Amino acid sequence: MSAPETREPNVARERQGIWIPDWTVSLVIVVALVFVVIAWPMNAYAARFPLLAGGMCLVLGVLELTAQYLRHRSGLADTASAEPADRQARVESAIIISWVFLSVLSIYLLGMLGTAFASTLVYYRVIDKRSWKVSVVMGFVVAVFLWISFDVLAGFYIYEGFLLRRLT
Amino acid sequence: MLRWGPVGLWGHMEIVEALSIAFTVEGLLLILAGCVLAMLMGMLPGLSGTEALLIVLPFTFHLGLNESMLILCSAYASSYVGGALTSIVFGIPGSSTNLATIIDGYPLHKQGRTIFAVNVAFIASAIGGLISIGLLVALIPFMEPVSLLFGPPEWFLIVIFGLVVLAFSSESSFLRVLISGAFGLLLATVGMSVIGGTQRYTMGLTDLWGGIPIIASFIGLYPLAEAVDLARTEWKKNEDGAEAREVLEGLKRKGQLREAAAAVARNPYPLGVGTFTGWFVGLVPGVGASLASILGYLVVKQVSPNQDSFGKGDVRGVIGAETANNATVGGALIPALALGIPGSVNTAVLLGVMMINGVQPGTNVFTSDLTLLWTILVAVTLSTVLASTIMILGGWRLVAGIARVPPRSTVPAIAMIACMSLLLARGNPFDLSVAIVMAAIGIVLKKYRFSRVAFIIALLLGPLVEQSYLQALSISRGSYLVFFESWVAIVLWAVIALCVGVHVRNVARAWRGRHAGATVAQGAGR
Repeated sequence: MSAPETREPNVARERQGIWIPDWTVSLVIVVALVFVVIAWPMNAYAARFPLLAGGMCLVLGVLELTAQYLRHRSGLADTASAEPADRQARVESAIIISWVFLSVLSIYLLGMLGTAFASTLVYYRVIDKRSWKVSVVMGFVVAVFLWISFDVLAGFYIYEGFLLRRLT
Repeated sequence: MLRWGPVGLWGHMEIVEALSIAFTVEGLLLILAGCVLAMLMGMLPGLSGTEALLIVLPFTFHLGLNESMLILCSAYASSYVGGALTSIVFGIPGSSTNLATIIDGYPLHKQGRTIFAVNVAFIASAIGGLISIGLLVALIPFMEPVSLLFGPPEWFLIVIFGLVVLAFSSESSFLRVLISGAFGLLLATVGMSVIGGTQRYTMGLTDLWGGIPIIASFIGLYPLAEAVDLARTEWKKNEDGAEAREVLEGLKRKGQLREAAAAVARNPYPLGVGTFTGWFVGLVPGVGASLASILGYLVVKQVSPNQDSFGKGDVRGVIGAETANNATVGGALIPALALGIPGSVNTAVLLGVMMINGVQPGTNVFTSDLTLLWTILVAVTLSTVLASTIMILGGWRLVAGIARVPPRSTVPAIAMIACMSLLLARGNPFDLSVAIVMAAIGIVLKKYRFSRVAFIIALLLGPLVEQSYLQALSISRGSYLVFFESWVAIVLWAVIALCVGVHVRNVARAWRGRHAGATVAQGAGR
């Protein structure tokens, strides 16, 4: 028998034994608590609504966690949490999320047109697995498209980025 | 009481004014641009009219409010049209709103009746959209008196009501949708307080004094968060194994417009049933065109004789689904304009632009802003006709090429245009940080089955909800009984209680059922 086949039932049993609160709901509760604590000493007008909204988050969050715990204790499947994803899907998602975040960070530094070229090139080469030639051409096309449609035709200001601003 | 304008109930002078705004070269170009962009986005699997709306949104800050509404409303009304083509030709919904069109549209394509099917879809879309707008126009005289019933306590309650109804009708968990809404309301408190101007949760950042920038939130939650899924979308071959290119070659056949028009004319009953179903679904906050399309299809199937042919290329199925999704536009604009309650992201964008321009949806739209109201209606009507006409007259031959593009290849362009648009909105690079935080929130909300719609609606309406809440308490000198005094408030509470009660009953039933099933399984196992 192969190793994964013997391991899976154990993992399932372990998961059934220990209840781990849903981190997303727990995070909402923590954020709501922080908001409530900060709002508490404010004047009545400023604090009233944050206390209400924070209170709603806390109550609903606790209800959701309680429901999840009861489902777990009864051995019923949790229908509310995320769909299970395989390792490949998780890695792909992580790469794409990193690309989105790095692209936005790059806009700060390189500006809009530089990022359009660089991030399109990286996307086509790394994520879409295209050739260098196609990736460079696509990077150039996207950057030129943005420049022509926004700057030349519409006359809008294109953000030049922190680095270029410092240099000029 | 109904308000009689100078020439009638609808304010004829304002109609003329709205027409004069729309029928200029600039106005028509804006409508055409919104229309074409939304259709293209609708055709691409993974993208929808929402992305089109969000991409054009920042440009509207350089336009007047009426001109902004021309491009936004035309994008909104046309967004459901393009997706029908992808559904019929590829068997993949261009947007979730065209999901039900596949059931009978795709079999029609496989029978070699592609052009007939797409023409039926486009004609049905136009008729469904126009009838729903007609119903909205007919109700205009009654909207002002209705909106006047809503004071601060009722306005506060209607938002809570909207979130509860959204949770009740959503596919996600009831509690998770409510948590999304409550979290949106909580984040909406960032910035200066409505009364007194106290700084709250700004962390010393002056950029947050005015609250979380709503445009950056829209862009982060939708186009940027969506990029992650879109980049993982494979452009599948359809069931026949034919490549997208080959399928599109198959489309280049002689048109069958007359036959399609005759088929729609022969089926007035599915047309009417689909339209009214979509219109009613549109009225309910948060339900949206996706469910309307499916319900429209199912209701038409239920009330039709010879149900066996449904699912095998029955034209009534295409008519039911396509009329229903387009008819939601007229329905959804009623709560949005009369009460300021957006039922979807698209209507939230429209309301957001109105609010940024200092127009409070509700009574004002029916008293002092009748020109704006009519501009919206003219834009929606023109774009509904224009979208279907462009597609029927063969525009799809030109734009169908876009459907050849694998969805994942569009990600860099979409993300860069979204960021570019975001920077145009306020010209403040700080908004990029907000967009990236919102993208992270959007990814988590989507992956963990919360509700992005509830979150964004709450975030958008948060400041107004707070204002209503404080005004109501101020009127009642701090007594919470003010939220139970009027009959409107009591009706809203009753519906909220009903939704919660029905949900609790459903959960209890499901719990008992699953528990009994588990016990039986354990017994059998022993």
